[in-house]
Amino acid sequence: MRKDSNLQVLTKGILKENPVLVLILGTCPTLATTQTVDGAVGMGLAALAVLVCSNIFISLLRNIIPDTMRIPCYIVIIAGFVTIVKMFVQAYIPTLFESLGVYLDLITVNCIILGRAEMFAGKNPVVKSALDGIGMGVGFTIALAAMAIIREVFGNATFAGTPITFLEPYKISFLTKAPGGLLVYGLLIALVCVITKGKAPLKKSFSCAGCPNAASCHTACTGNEKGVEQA
Amino acid sequence: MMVKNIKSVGVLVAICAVVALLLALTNQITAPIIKDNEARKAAAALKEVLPDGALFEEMDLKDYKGKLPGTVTKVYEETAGEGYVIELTTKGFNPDMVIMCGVTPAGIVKGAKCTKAGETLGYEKTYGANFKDKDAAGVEAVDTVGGATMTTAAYKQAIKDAINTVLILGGAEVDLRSEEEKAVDKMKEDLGATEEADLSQYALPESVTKAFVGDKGYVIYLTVSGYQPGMEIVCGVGTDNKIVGAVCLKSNETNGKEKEYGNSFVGKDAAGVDAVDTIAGSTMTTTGYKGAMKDALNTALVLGGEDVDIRTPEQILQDNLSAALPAGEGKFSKLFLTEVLKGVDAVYAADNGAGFVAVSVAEEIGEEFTGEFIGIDANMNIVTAGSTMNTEAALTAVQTIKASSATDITADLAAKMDALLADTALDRNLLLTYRGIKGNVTSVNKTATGNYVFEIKGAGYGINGGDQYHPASGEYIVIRVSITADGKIIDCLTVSQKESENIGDVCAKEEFSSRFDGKTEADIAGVDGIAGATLTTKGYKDALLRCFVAVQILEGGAE
Repeated sequence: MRKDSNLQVLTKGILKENPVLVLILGTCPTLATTQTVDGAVGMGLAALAVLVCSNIFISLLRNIIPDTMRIPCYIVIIAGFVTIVKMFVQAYIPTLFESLGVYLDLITVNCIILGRAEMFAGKNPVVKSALDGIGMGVGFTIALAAMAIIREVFGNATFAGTPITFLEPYKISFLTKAPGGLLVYGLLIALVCVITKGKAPLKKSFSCAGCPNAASCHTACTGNEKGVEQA
Repeated sequence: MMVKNIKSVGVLVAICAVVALLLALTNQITAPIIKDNEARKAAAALKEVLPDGALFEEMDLKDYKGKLPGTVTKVYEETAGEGYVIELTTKGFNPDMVIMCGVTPAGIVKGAKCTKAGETLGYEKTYGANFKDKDAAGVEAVDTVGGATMTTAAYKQAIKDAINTVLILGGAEVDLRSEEEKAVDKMKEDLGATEEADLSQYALPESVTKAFVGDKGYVIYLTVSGYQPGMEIVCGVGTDNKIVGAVCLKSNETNGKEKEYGNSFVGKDAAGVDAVDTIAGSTMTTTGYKGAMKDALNTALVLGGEDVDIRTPEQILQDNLSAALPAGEGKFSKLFLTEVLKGVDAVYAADNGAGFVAVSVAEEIGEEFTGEFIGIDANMNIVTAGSTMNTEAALTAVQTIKASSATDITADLAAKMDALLADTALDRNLLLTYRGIKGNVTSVNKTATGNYVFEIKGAGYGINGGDQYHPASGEYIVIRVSITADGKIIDCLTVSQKESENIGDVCAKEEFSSRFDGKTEADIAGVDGIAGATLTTKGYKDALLRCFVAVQILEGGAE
């Protein structure tokens, strides 16, 4: 398996493997919290904090957590950190707490967090896992911020709640609604495709020997494996 | 394998323990800050109604249990002595209207806001602004809003309760009784009516709930239905059996007329009560109120030892029918008359086929008008006789009814209408009338004696009305009417209707349909309609007028 350098691990989450615009993960909070810039950035930073902390913790425990128990353990760790972040936000940034509402708790089941825990932190050392968390978190925040800027500025003629008076007559209210959100999301995905020249992240192949479920998989046991390609 | 499983579970438990520890530490740090934030947020909401306040503490009201108005749910004391914010829950048009009111220790309202309601017209959102900087007298002077009386009256009372609460907390003696309660207590005092009567030993009207007996009279509590059920009225009756006072303690009526209507009955006896007019636009409220006054007078007579017939007219009718034909077992149905019966007003058949009861035409005997109930069994034997004349008339009436037959001439009428409608030069009014007859007469029969029996649809509120509060049912009123060949109604019956509940559906009652008995076409316009049900009345009358025109057509003369 090709090993990325620390810099590559840190930066791939920002554009090349952006979790929202390339991997298409975490769509629910993306659409729900990008009506305002401050809400989007707050959500992104909260997810970043959870991602980094959970990646570090899971990476530290990767050789201790048994395969059969890894998902429950990951969930407990992620949920714990989400609750900690939630308590800090509720205490120190109550306005952000009010605006994020239930979506703060829903970070627990955000695909990005569990996905990175499973795909990276569970198999890599602590430093790389932390860098991966930072990279993915920053990429998530940038994607959310970009969407929020478009939706709030052009849809509501405000920026982080501050009115932009010259845009008021031209605002497109549709952008602040769900269909408008999906449209902006789709257009941003298309833009990223153009920027990255449509190249999907490198495919990797590995045999059943590298698969954590090999022991219980019928295909592995019978030797009828094919080379499995993984994006 | 077992060891492996135990190790797995052990790891999970250990991780849970570590996470729990971290959460506990975080809670230790953040809990006081979160609590402080919540207090500030609550204070911000309270400051909206008491702007000069800074910090508030919720008071423990257990020392004031039973001493504060019933609407008070919470009291917040401003810690610097600026006043109080009182949370009240009251009932407007809908239940659970929650109001926050800020009041200074001197009893001046600094702000009022409705935090939870769903009133139909939404006045609770803005009405609170009227009370800013008002004292008790100023609050009293604020008008309620017409059309939203229940909402705004309840709101106003809640503000008064808030002021009273602050005064009580300040140690003042406050009379929490409403004006109505004070009036009732004064009535009791004036009449010496302090002892509650045991009503179980008396046969009293159903509306009476309790009564107090005194040396100068009685105070009687009644619950009746007006436009809405549950109108609680207290009536004071003197030993001369005249009303000394009447107060509505509680009601759900929408127009508020029941508040002052009781004054119309002061000094009145039974005849005087009958003479008091109902109020147009609040007919059901005032009719219910009047009924309560009559019940109160009858109750006073019963409590005074007099023999009073407290039965309703329906009960009296059923008792008379049962007395005339005991074999009928108390179940009788009024027969729809298709023949003119001399000397007989109505004929009832026993549901079990035991016979008939004919009610003779009422005649004046002394000061009373009364008819006789003559029972006839299935074999035409007299069971209960009346005077010779009435008994003969009753026998003839029942024989006429039994011998009556009719032929369906619906097709004849339809053919005649088609012929008339074929005339392209018809006058517009005639055209509409003929179309109305063709479209709405569902059947017509002609009796052997030449009378006509129509079944016709009338377009009342169910077809022509409808609004957001009383949607139209989409159904016609179906009327059965018998008319003589020379154009006089013999009998009229409402077969079915889906008019507005408690308003237009009065057309289903015999009391309404019998108003048309004996009437000619010219008389119809003068028949009393149903108050508040103009469309129902018009639809009913138009249907009957069409029947008169149809009779003329069938008799060979077009309109």
